[in-house]
Amino acid sequence: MNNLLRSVKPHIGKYTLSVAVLWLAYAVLTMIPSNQTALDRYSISAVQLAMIRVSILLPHLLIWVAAALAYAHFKKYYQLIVDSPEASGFRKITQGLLFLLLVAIVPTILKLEIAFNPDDLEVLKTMRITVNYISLGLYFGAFYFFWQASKDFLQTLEPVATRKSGGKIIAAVFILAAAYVWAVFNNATRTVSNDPLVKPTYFLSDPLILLTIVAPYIVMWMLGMFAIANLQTYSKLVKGVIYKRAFKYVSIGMAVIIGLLIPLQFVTQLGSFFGHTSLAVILAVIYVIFIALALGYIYIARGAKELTAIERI
Amino acid sequence: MIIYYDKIIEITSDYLGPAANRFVNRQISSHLHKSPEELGRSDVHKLAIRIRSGLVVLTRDEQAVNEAYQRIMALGDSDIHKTKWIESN
Repeated sequence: MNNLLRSVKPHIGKYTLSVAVLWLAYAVLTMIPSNQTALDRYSISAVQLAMIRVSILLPHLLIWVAAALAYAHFKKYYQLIVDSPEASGFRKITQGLLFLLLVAIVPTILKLEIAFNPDDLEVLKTMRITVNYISLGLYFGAFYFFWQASKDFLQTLEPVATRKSGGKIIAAVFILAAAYVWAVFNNATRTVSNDPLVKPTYFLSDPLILLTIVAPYIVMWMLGMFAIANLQTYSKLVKGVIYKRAFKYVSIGMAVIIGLLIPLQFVTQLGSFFGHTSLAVILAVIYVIFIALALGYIYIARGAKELTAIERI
Repeated sequence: MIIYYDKIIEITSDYLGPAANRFVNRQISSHLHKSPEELGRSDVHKLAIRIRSGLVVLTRDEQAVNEAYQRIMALGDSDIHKTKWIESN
């Protein structure tokens, strides 16, 4: 056991260092291309644009490192309890966290292609579609694993527990779905845009948007809300005051992450608003969302650390 | 004796939940150098002290720690076979 603890401990540092180095490379590449459109629109100098870019890069670093920490700590804990009844649930949460780490990094890096070719509509279209589908796939995978993990946890309770809030969740998803469909199809720039300051959100026809974007996101939100409800139920019913306290950090962190990723999709429909609003508002929105997400990941990491502490004694 | 082991697991589960089994097994093997089957009444007090030392590291709730300790110590003070005979009759 001690050998295992010694062998996994350095891996947490390796994950966070790798992510930090990747961010550094991304940051350098971000600073290279000039953006005359932004310079003209905000009436700023190239130096000011560089400073603004740095201020947007920092929240990315925060999220990447926080997500990497959450994944690394969970992986470490799972490796310690791999033969236990609850191992399956922790393995699936670890897999889900890996998907969230990838969705924080991969689309952001892919968008560099757009930054280097800001006036090439074909590049913009290809990358926007690619990034949207990659993000959707990774988010869906993460939420699916979280839902499966939450069911596995309930199965380990004696007697086996079931969630009683299914009706309320379905109702909430129905309301969210209606609001989301309304928001998407009232987004005038969802397929094309005549406004040079606003790029189309999807570059897809309405049937494709409905079937391949909207519908999967609605299903994903349902899985996510079921996962939150199941984890809350498990957190309440599991025995052990010390274990319960540690797991509570995990369930709160998961609720924050899943809960924030849902309204994030509504924010992506506000292209016209962000295209014409001030830089301060854009930065404020970015910072609020990223800091809240980072806090969610930090809660998850803390929960995993406290659960690991039990296994170290 | 597996009876003492089962009772200690039952008590420790109230504090460590699903991790109780692994925690107690580690204390028995690392500090008493025994297997759970070999655990006897004479080992219970030593194990109680070990478990208390572990719980002190995991929580600031002194009341819970002392409560767990007292409950396990009481096992070592009582004749568990007599208690089980009374319970079953």
